Amino acid sequence: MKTLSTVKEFPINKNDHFTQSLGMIITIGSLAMLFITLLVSYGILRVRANIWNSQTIDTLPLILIFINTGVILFSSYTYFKGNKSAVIHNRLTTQKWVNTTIFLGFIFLIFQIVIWFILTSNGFIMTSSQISAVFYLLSGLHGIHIIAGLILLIWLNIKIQLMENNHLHLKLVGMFWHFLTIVWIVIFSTVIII
Amino acid sequence: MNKNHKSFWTKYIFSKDHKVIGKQFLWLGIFFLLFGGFQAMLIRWSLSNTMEPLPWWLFGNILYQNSPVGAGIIGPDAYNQLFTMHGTIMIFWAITPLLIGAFGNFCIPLQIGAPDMVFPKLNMISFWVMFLASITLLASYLLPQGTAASGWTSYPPLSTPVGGIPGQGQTLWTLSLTLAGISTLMGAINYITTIVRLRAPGMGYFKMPLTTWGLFLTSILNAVFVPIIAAGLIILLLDNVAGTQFLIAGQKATIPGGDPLLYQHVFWIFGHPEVYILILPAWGVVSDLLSVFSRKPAFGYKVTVICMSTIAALSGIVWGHHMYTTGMSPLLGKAFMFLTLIISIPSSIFFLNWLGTLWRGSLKFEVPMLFAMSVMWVFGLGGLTGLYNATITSDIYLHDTYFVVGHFHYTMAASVMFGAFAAVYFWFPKMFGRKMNKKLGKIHFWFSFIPLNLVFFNMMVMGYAGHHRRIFNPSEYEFLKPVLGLNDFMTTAAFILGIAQVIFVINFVFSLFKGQKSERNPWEAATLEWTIDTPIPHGNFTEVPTIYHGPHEYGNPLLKDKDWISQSEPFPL
Amino acid sequence: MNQVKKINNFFFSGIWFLDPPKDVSVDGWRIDNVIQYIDVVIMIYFGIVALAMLYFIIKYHARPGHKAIYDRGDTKKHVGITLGMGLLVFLSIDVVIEGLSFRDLNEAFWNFPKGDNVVRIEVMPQQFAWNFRYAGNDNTFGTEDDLIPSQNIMHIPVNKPVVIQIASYDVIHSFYLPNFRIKIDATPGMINTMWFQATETGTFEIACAEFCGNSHYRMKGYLTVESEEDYNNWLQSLDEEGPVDELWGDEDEGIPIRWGWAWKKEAI
Repeated sequence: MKTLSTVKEFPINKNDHFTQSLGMIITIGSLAMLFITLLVSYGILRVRANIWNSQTIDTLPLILIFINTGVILFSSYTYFKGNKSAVIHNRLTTQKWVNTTIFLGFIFLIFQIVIWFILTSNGFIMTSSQISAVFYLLSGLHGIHIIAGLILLIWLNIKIQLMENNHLHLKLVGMFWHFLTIVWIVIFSTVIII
Repeated sequence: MNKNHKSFWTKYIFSKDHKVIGKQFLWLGIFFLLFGGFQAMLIRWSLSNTMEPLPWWLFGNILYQNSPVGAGIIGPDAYNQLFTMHGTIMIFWAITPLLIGAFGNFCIPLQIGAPDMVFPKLNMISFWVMFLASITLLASYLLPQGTAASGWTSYPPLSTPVGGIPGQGQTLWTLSLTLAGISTLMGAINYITTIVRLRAPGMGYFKMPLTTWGLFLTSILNAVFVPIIAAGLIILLLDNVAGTQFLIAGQKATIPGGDPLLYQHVFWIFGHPEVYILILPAWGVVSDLLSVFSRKPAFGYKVTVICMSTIAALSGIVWGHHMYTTGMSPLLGKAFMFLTLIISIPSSIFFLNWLGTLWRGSLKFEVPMLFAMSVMWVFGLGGLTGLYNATITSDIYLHDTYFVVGHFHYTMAASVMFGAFAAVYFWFPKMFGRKMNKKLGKIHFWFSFIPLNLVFFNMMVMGYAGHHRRIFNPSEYEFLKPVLGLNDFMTTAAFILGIAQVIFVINFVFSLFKGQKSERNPWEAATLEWTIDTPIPHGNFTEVPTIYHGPHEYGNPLLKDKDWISQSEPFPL
Repeated sequence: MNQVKKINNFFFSGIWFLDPPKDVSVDGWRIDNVIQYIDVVIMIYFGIVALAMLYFIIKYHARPGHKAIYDRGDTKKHVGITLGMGLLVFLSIDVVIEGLSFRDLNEAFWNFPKGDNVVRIEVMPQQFAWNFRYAGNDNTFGTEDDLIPSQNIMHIPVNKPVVIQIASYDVIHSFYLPNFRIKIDATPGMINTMWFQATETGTFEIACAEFCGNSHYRMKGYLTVESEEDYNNWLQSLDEEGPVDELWGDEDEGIPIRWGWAWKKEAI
């Protein structure tokens, strides 16, 4: 890739897929380090603790959490379909799938808030145990990044409507959104299941 | 391509040009360097004139007027706030913006032949996030109970409500540091992507200047480890404001399961790479400068790159050497000692390469060269004294004494700062089109170098005599009586060191406006930034440069009329 | 003679011109030795570096007619010599001090004494004082006959190994004995163990070596080393006057540590 170029104009490589993707990959890598550290910290606290108050989550919010996990998984699927439609240059279908993803993203966020509300009114609050603190920390931090992801998706929606060539943008936003899904799966598995 | 009608705001304040952003970081860094340096003067005053009112020339009439121990007097609480903020500011608000923010931004695109960073908007945002972080930090000075006061390391439970330090200073500290970390991350994303993708044709990785290499490795470390401290800070923040008890244990814990040691691990997993993050750019700058001013290539360029990379890679697995006295398992302790000692191999190798660069060269003692050579001296001493701390047995005695303080001031304050000064004097003509005054520069150098050695070497002496750290009034202890006289000597030396920096500022400001105009390449340096005129236009190079050889082609026998050739100039046939 | 002593000191206590506090411990010499070894090697190596730099400055400074010799330092010979020198430094310093340190840790510092001849003391620092607890005649902690002296006062018998277990009441402190060259952190929620043995009688200072708040700088204690007889007398005097603390908890039962705990079985 780094051979003597015959092109004598700027910019070189700045807006190509690999460069922009590299930026997003590094961002995702850093964010992954953030979540990994928090998850490992939770693990260490739990393993080293002499006493660990395992506070349980009631059935109703637990069911909602399971449903929400399904929602975000589905949203990744709809995004994936959107990406595929973009590859075959079907703009309207792409837009439809991206809009569905946005809708599902909002459902996820709203459900999270509802779950928080139910939990706090049942005594599962931030300061009632370590596990509850961990739960709110991780789901909260994840939620903040979901909001960022939704902003990105809405921006993407506008871009698609303006009919610009946006395979790259689709790919980049997709990386971020799928990353958030994966983070949620890991949080869900570690904190809820284990 | 010319939508370049720029208003004052878009050209100077919200600029997306890496050179302007670099200068913005330069102003921020210099401001905080002076701020933190002044704090150091206050600390030194308090140590040798404990409980005495500050003199007028340290603003004793204005500062600490509401001090509970008397107007204008630094009491124990104020002292604790002082050394906490001094450490925090010097590391995150002086060195990071100077070496990484200013010189990273300015040098990287120029040295690799790129028109700008890959993400100019992100670059601009990274500066303004840092600005926001600065406001947040300085705002803690306006709080009635003052700033954070649990050390720059802010170990819990002291840094949580359990520790008994009143006020919200710690909260603001944690917030501002998180913001600073976000700014650094944005910078790291930019630097890495730019270096990987935007190098000019012909510039393979092993033809990049070592300054860029240092910044590249720093950025990789930043991208990996800054999120780790962010995680630790978030947990600490929650413990401070949300009533969680992740880091609180023992008698005072109402929620079982917390662990103060968790913070120490998270902190130092970041903290140790952080010190390498701070020094890698300085190493790179010094390697390049030694070459320029010896008029021969950097000795063992490839080996140096490999050594720097190895050190960067190893830096993530040695953090336990900050925690030898915490009661960790012997096996773990020994593992950390072994790994820490291994790092001395690549360190000594690339230090030898520095010597090799000087050997048989033609040394020009310009001001940047003086600073670069002094880095060899202070890093040699600082690095070697790290051995005492790496070894568990000697560390049991020396941990948390002034020995450590002396050691890290040698490696960080001295090496990194002198590296930064070398960079400022070196790139000033390229940044501003004028030269800094050489005589003032030499005065600045000698009046910094000698007092610095006098202050920090003696700190190590005090540490060896058993003087432990963060002590407001050492005369409380009998065993420290022999040491007290040294404090006065060190304070005097420190004041001279402080005054020398004023000389630097005068030189800098004066040269900005009235300095002698500089030609395009006053140092006859071969890297790309010296092939264009100042002021450097937006987009840097009018044509994509093509790279024909490495960055240190000095003294090549093939050259007939001059002793150097630029990277983008082919050899005469 | 003073001159000779000074030169002697220079080489044997190294480059540090102030002496550390008098060493009254059985193993402190190990620490002093390691430090002195590093002193000597550093003086040699850094001395060579300093001389080399001086030589380079004099011999190679730029002047008319003097040209730099173009040398990239990347030939096999150069790389080999550089690597060789690096390895030499490593072998002569790092390997040696690592060996010395491992030996010291295995033989002394992490080699906890066992048996009946050992004095056991529980230490609990708080903001801003030191608390000590002795087991009393039944040699069991957490019982009615435990002895607690006034704050900041610690007595031990000379020439007997002393093992302490330490946990903090509030924030992290560090139990530092300058005259014994050792320190150990006291973390709340965690019990650390350390041991030492005094070779001389006298009263020595205890300092806190981990920043713990606004009176950290005067969190001072006194360690009195005395003959066994005096020590026993002192303990007896406590028996008559000292309060027996009723608050104690058992770590294994899952109760957060209050002042006093059943002696932790494993040494570390």
